[in-house]
Amino acid sequence: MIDLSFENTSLAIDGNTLLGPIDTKLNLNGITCVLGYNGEGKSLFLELCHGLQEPTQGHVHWNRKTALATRNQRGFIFQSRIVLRRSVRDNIALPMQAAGWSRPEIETRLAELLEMARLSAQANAPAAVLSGGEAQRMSLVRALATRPEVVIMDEPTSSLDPTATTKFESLIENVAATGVKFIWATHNIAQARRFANTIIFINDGTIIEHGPASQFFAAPQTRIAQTYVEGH
Amino acid sequence: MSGDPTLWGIVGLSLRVSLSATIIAAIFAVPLGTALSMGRFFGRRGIIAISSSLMALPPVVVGLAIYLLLSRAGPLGELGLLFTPTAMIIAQSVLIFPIILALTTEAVTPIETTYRPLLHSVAASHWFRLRTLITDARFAIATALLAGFGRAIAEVGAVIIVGGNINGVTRVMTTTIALETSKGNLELAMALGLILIMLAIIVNVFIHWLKSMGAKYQQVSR
Repeated sequence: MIDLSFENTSLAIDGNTLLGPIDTKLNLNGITCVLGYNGEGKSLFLELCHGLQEPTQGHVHWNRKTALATRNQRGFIFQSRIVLRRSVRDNIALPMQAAGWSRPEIETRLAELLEMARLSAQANAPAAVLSGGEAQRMSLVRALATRPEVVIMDEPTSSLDPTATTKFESLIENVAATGVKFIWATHNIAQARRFANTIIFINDGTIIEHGPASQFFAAPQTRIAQTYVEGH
Repeated sequence: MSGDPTLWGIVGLSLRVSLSATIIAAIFAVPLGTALSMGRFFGRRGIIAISSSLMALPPVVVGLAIYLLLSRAGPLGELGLLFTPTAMIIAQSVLIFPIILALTTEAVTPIETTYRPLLHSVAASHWFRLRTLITDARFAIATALLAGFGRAIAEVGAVIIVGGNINGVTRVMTTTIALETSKGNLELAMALGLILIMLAIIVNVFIHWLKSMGAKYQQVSR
């Protein structure tokens, strides 16, 4: 079990509070989906979780250590794909190089990751030539490269076609089965219904619902969540 | 022309001086230009604007400044470097430093903007970020170096002041062309002129090749 706690945390930019105050403790297990309407703060919430945004008030802790100090124990997939100007293998190798792994360690892990993403054949090609689905699978294994306990994903399938989405989802399922925890922001309610163990519902910059997915979908506690689940 | 040792001596010295100047300027300008693209500090835009303006630094002014520095009465006069190839290398390094700095910053900035969130997310150190950006911007940075080299090999004002155009010691292609033309010895001047033009073409071909290599790794939106 991994504890993610927010202690009276808020984030303001130019005096406008965009997120918070959030004062809660989450026990992560399996796949946690983050739901909410556009512009309600899902991306900022994920960035705050990972330490990419420093809270202007309060703290974010992972097992009592700050989010910023524990970034290398998590992977992060951005909403807009980040494809480095290098080969597929060198893209995937980046987090391991940043963590100071030795070359043999990196090579061994690369072979596993390329196989996992089904990208072995394109390993030496420039990553720029990958299709959207392939590039997103590359992003996923890159986030998994240093064997993190948690991977945070910001709408990773929003720009993918249904086939590429299915391939990506099955990869997530396989990885989740190995014990890796996911925090996954999505707009796809059907996707959340299929994969989420836990739901976090964000509205107006705060967590307004948090609990088991089955409970959330069966009986949302708030009017806004109910409207959201009904697809309005 | 092919068997003239004087000519090839001049060409050799020109290449040695300008290549050395390019390497020395690059050692400082490439990491600094990359760091400028990474930084978000007050005054950064000002530094970039100044370095861009200094790209058009007149070579004679650089020559004069280095002359004053290295002349016997100058602060570095004791080193006895004036009228040596070393003085010419120093002058050309100073001349092309802003060019390599500004072009490096310009080349790395868009890459840095794309890479920044990922590098931040993997907790990359500053040193690792610098290396990653220089590696991935290598084709554009090489173009900046070639532009600096092109400027150095073609300039005459700085090297003639600090080198003195001494036969067999500090005489390079451009200073020889200036001297021999004034003496009416057009044959040698034209031969050197042709070599300079060929070098310019080679440098440009290289720049185009590097750009096409760099483009292979740039993502096309799909």
